[in-house]
Amino acid sequence: MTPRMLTVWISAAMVVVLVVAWVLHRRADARPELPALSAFAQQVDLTPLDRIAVQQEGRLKSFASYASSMMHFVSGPHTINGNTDTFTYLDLMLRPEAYDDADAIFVKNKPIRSEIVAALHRSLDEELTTRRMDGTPGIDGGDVAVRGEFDRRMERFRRTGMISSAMLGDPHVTRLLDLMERDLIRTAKAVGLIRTALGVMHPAVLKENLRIVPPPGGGVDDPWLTVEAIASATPAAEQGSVDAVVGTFGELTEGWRQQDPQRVNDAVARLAALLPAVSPAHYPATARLGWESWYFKARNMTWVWVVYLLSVILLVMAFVYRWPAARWLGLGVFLAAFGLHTFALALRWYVSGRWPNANMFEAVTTSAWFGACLALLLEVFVRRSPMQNLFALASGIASMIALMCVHFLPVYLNPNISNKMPVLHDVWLYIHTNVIIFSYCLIAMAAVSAVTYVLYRLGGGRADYVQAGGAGTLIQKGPSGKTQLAAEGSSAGQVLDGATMVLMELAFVMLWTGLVMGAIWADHSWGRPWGWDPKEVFALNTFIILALLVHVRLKVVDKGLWTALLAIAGCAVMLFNWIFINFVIVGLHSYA
Amino acid sequence: MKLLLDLFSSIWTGVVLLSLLFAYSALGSAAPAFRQMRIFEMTEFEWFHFWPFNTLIALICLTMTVTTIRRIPLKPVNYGVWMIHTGIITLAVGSVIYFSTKVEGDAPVVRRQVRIQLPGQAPATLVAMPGNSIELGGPENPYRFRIASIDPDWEILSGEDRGKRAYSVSVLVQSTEGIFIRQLLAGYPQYTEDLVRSTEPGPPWTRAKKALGEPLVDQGLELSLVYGPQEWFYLSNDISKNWALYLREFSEAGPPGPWVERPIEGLPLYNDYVADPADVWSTSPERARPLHVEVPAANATDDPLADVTIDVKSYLRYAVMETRRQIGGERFDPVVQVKLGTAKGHVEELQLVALDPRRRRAQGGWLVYEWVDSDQAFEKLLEPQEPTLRVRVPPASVDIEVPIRTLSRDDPDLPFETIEGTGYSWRVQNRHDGLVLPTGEVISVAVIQIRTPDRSFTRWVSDDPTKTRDLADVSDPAAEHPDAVELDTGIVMEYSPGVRPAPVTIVGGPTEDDLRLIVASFGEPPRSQTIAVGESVSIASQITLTVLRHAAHTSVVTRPMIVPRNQRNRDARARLSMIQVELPGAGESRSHWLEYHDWPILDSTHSLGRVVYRPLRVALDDGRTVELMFSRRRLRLPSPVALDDFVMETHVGGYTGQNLSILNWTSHIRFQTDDGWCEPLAVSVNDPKAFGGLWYFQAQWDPPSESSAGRNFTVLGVGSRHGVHVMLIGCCVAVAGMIWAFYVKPVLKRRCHQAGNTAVALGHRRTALRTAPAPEPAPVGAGEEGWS
Repeated sequence: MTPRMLTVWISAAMVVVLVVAWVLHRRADARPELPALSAFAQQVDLTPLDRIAVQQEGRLKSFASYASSMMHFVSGPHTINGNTDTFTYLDLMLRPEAYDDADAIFVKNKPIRSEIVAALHRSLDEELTTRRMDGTPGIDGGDVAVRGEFDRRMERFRRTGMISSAMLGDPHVTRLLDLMERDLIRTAKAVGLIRTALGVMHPAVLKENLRIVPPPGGGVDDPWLTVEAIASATPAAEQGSVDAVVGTFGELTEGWRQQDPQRVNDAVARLAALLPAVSPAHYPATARLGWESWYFKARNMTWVWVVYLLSVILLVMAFVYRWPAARWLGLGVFLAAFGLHTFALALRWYVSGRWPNANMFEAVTTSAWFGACLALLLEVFVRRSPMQNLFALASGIASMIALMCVHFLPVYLNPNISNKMPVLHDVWLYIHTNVIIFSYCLIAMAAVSAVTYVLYRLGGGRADYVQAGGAGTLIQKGPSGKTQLAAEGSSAGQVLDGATMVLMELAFVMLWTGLVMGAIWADHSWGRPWGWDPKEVFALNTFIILALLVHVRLKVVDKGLWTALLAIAGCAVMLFNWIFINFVIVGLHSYA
Repeated sequence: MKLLLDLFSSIWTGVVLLSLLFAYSALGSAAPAFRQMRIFEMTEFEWFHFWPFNTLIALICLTMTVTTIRRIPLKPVNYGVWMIHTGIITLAVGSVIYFSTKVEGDAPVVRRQVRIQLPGQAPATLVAMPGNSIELGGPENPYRFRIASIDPDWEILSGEDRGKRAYSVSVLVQSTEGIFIRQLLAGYPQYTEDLVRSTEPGPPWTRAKKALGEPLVDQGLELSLVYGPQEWFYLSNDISKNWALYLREFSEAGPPGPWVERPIEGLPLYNDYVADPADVWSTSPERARPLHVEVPAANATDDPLADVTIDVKSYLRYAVMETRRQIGGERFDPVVQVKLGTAKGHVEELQLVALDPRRRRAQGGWLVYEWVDSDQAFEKLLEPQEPTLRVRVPPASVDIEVPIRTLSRDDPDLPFETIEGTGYSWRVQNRHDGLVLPTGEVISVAVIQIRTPDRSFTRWVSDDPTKTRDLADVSDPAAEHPDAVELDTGIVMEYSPGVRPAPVTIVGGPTEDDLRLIVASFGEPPRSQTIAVGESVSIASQITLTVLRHAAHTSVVTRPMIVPRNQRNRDARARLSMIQVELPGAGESRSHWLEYHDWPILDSTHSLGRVVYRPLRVALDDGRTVELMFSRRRLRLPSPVALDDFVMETHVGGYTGQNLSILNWTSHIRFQTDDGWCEPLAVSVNDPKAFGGLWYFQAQWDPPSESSAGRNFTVLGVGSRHGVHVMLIGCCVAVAGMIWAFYVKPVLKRRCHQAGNTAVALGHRRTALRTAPAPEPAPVGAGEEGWS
């Protein structure tokens, strides 16, 4: 390796490290400081609640999953006071007064944070002026302290987005929100989220939604009931078990209000045993509820990105320095990451009762998993080729980025499990969507090898390329009976170009096939196979980039570089489609 | 010619064309504002069928054809490229067939109509939607029928069909004989029966069979449930603009006639075009942009204005009719017009009317406009008074007055106040101040929960004692409905809403020039200041209030108000659009605004609940009256379609108001054939049905609302799909070609080499190169520089 090449590789590695460090720093910076857990919070044991089911929007969720989905509306990606969502849910419901001035509500939109801060500043100015005019003793001296504390709190709000309901109830802020709510294009949605948070954290709403009692003697279509509603809706014959539930819930409520951990623990344990007995036929399996709780406590296993990162570091070393130890170690860690990824996917499949590809969180994680599957297959196929390690490396980077996205951006990529929209109940969801997201992952993996190729060229590498294309490079053999890479003692440029072409060719076929399958589904679902919906158009545009790549490669002299640049452009268009079109432009695919 | 052939067999030509296609698609899709500009006014479909796009596609197809024929020899290694190019050209041909013959629209189909047959009169129909009503019978024997309620899942409780569920419609019948409810069950006419007012305590209605011994009160009155067949479907504005004007002659004497359609060609879709800015209200200055869209009669025989060409001179994309006061006039009707703005540019213009209880408040009640007759009245506004409740129990000589500070709505555990020695206890559940009744009266009420040793009930205590009501407590197991119950005179309550100025109050008076502002921040005494017209005042952080106009005497004017773009709901689509048409009048033309209707329904008895029905009625100089409606073009269905049943499947726990709790919707539809109604066809999401050359999709439904249990109609998507199979074949051939080119070709080449046929393969290649005029290599199929 030339010194220039080494410099490029070290620079690239430093960029990767800096990006990861920056992400982690931002993450830590945006996280509110957590106070020490209260003695009550430390002593209370809510584990038995993992076996309790809650009915919400047509699903029977575990209490942990349900609490997570509800608290997501209130505190977004943050926990309140470092407590679990389950604890916070019960605390908000049973001791709402403790949260009057607690920074419990997450405001996602940063410009709105700034406007709220300005409104609160004005409010404080008015308050201090009034108090001074009223001659409140000692106010002048206290001004500085009040302002100092206020400024610190506002700074924290700007950084973390966490604010209290009392502050949002300030007249200046409510007027501001009222006015911003009228702006449907720019601010109404963000204000709507704040109002939802305020609504959801109201104890009456939390109680009304806590449907934990199966309908005694009812059918599958009958709604589950709250503890308050159950007493009046129960046939006399089944009153006994219901009375026990009501009484135990009352115990829990009282114990919680008195901050008596022992009483709460007893009540929780009894409740977990009593509720399934109300209507055993309708109660979901305890094992499923337990796994669902574990899955959410384990943060949806999105931390697997760290394992992928480790495999990437090792595989980069294996690729650059050709160290066999790094190769086997890297592949081993990659396999471990893939195993954990597979387990997370299978677990989500088990608890949701459907293949996970019905929302953005699931599409991103499943797409990465498809890429990892293919990478393993290809690694077996190219085990004796110079392309070895490259597919695992590309997949490792793509999966790592995908899982980092879902780990660090839960506000955008909501991990909560919900039912599918009615239109998605079709076999084509599994065929079309999986093929499309598979192709997206292939494009992302190809972009990784393409970026590596560009780095190689920037480092002074020769303008090498493979002559027989992607699969042809692996299949076709020359007069010597060997493939091009094997026959000529391939350069890194040829290897990278070959890997890019292998992935792009596969993406070309998969993307087109996915588009055709989507058209077949749309034909019988929406009444037209092609609606020029933005998502369709940009999927087609991604395909056009791939078609350009195939044709430009035939004409240009520097085939490797053009291939790499167009592969990166294809990935950019794909990401634009997946991110910008999904989040900004409203279309028929908005639910995806 | 050779130059042209060379041009269209060049890979670079293809690359340039593909690049242009990419740019064109990206522009039309990611920047919708571009294609929606006044110069284009195009929907996505129109943009992607605009001549530049069609030209691009045609040139790409031409390039593929010429290149394939001239440059790529048809031999096994090149089959892949041939298939890809052939497939894409076939797809393009299929698309031309598909989109040139495409019709697409929707058809609302009601579940049932009530057929009403009065003795000796022609039958009439009333669409089964809660609230729909019709008056029949004539002056001597008037009947009024109103759909009182509908239960889509009524359980039959007796007879051999016990346990089955049916669509139940209750019709309130009012006649000179009295009032009763007739309950009709779809598919079970034998169970039709009447309910009459009960004289017993308990439910207000009882079965006529129980009260009178007969199931029907009026044997001569025949009511039955029949299908409401739909004969038309209405073209969507997505594929192309399909605006239409509907007309008919109106007569008080008889039922309205059918609508006659006039297609409107050339009407825009996305932007406002105003002939005269003085005809609209707008927050931003409007430029005059008149339209001149002529709408001639399309059907001279039935059109009531066959010889008149109607001119559309204005189009508004998103507007609502709004009545405002204008400065000047004879009427004392104080009005103030203000503008609220934030530092970030959010602006809203409001008009507040002091004497109109509905319009004197804005912004959820934090901005109020008051008129005072004297300075004393103004001073009173500055003195807040707490709301109070006076409770008297005369027999026990209890008379207390307490301020209302906490509500059980906010604190569910708020304890009941016990009135010693009386057995009564109470607590305040909620307060509603400034409620506007349908009569226009404004009252304030406190909702009080009252308990006695025997029962509990809720009392709505009004500041007007005549409006105070007791309601049975819904949690009381003895009460089936929260209906009004007899007022408990043992306990008397009076509510005084107190005086608490709104956060921002604009006060006019006592003289016409006086204008003041009261700002009351929470927990602080109200502050007042004078304010002049044109002056901006900061009323809260980031918010300024500017008084634009103020007058005590005004006149009333109704015009469309153009909703600012940032306040438009994208889901409303064209629902709030309107046009201004010019109709001939006595010596001069007259302009009228027409609001858009999703469907030109026949009349108000065919109303579909949330669907508006506001046709314009115009008296002509010749004495006739015509009705006009602005809607979409329609096409006749191959056969009338009726909705037999509508089924909603849900996930566990039933419908929760969220779509995520729904598994599927299914419309069981029937078509009218020569042999009567065909067997029901189940149309559900992802499962359309074909009939008479068109496909029928489940498109919309009637969801439950506060006033209706829903499921009273369905909206079917209707469309043609000629050419779909050609497109599919093209796509599949292209997929096969890709697999061949990328994965089969290398295998073929490998086998070729393995068999020692390299020389033969190269020979073929030489032949190909000899015939190819240009030196450039052929695409994909010819291999990459022939490495083999």
